[in-house]
Amino acid sequence: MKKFLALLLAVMMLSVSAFALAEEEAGFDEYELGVEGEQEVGFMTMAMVYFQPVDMAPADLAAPREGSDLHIEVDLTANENPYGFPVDGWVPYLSIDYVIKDTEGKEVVTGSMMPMAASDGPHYGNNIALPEGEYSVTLSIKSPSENGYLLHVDDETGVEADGFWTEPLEATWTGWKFVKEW
Amino acid sequence: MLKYLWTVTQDLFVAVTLVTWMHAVLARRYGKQGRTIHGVGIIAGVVASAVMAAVKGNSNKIISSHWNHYIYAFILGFTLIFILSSLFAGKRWSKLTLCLSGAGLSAALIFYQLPGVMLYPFNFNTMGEGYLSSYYMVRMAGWLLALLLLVAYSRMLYNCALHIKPLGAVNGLLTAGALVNAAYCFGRFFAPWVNRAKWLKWSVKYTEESYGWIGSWMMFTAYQSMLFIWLTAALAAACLIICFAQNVRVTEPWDNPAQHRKLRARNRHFRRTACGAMAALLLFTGFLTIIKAYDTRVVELSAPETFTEDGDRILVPMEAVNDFHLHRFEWQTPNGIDVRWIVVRKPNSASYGVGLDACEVCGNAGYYERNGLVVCRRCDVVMNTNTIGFKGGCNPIPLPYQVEGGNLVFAMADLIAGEREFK
Repeated sequence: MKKFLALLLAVMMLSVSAFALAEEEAGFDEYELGVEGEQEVGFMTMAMVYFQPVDMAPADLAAPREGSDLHIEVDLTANENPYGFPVDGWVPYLSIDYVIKDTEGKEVVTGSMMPMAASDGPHYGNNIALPEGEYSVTLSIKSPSENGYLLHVDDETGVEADGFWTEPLEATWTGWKFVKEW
Repeated sequence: MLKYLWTVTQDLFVAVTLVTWMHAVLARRYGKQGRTIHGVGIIAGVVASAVMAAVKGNSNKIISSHWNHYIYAFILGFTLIFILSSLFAGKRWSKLTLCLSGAGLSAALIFYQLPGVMLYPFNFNTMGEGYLSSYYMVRMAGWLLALLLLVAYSRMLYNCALHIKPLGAVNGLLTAGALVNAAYCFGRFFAPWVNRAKWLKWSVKYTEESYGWIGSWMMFTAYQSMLFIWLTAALAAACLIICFAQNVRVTEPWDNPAQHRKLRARNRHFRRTACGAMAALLLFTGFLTIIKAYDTRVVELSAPETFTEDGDRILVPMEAVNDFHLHRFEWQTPNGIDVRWIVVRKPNSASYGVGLDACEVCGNAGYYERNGLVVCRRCDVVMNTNTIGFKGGCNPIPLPYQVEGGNLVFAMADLIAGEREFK
């Protein structure tokens, strides 16, 4: 009996190790945020995703993992070229603020996304503390000019647009059922 | 410290209670054999958790959401088999199924929660000061204290559950607790489905119209996750009250005063054990209500202080901000935006840390003073007072100022430039 139990224990331990080490994928799984999926916002295509809070460096430039419930990201690419950003490429120098509201329209969390890169590429994101529940997220995307980014506007070398947008672009994702799955 | 008192309790309380009852029930039903098989389940759960924590902490091979999805399935399966086997407890075959499903359920309950708790000490935010810092030590103390209290509670609850009469009472409490936990796991099991997780590759996708009740139940477990803990705590309290009530007076026959005294001493022992476990239960209740509320409270910003306006300048008397404490000011721009800024005199220095009451990371959440330190209200990061006024990261966005005639002088134009942070 004892030998059987010891064997059972050993098999369980080895199974966990083997299953863990056999995972071929990277250690995170992005969850789509909201029911809208990808949205066209100005000249960009944007999608919001979330997963477990992460460590970022330099540590003092972002909210720490401890005390955060999730890492929220906005993945975006340019789908036109009015400002000279390559089509299908990431757009740098944006300032993106977010407002998360509950189903009654009450603001629960607000903040700014930081530019950063993960193993799957550059994006804007941050760790945030948020109780489980149903929410909507509104992004306010300010132009790169607010971060000192310039455009060529002369006839020979200039981009298509005369300048960046002046009022923030806005996009909202709704019906986000946030449950911590990690 | 406080954070880990309530988080560890919240993470492990249900698992500890159910595993303890399971051990008592199997020990009472099948004696040493029941204890041994369930003990193996517990050890397997702990060892598997340690392996999982080690792999998770040292590689990117663990996707918690995938594992949790299957652990929920195991918990639901083992709960079902255990409850069905309990209904046929008299049958010969039920011994094997009860012991194995009980051990499996306990292993799954432990494996679900323990790896995360084991990893907490490796993820404490030490503000870059390492493992020997006070930041680390106070968090470690909270983590250890919660674990020790849970072990003590488990020991006392086990003693009570082992002696309550009849066995059916403990079995009923265990079954009720397991069902409560299964109801919670049932809702969580569907989370990847409701959230359209691509990795599931299920052909049927969730829609509100077709499967609304699944999403509703999942959201109920999200909004009311504490309810499941309180229900388990109520069952644990009932167990302890029954134990206490059954040991108030001696009901067994006794032959002589010595035997009577012995029975009374035994009753006293069980009453004290029940009271001890109840004290632990009350302590946990305190952790999950008062301590949690205090630890997660939204700190109110202190009221803005007064200043004088001088044309297009704002004057703050230096004597009003010389006390090394945080001072907050607010001025409404011509655009109607209330712009806040902070001033703190730097330690061992005649200079001041000055910046907008906002940072590039957390927006205009603001800063507050805690034990003489300046802390971000949003992310709880303690600022180095000496770097306030420097650009970047969690530092307050710098605000230019001049010292003139005993005043700190701010240009209104600089405050107007900062109004976008407060829109």
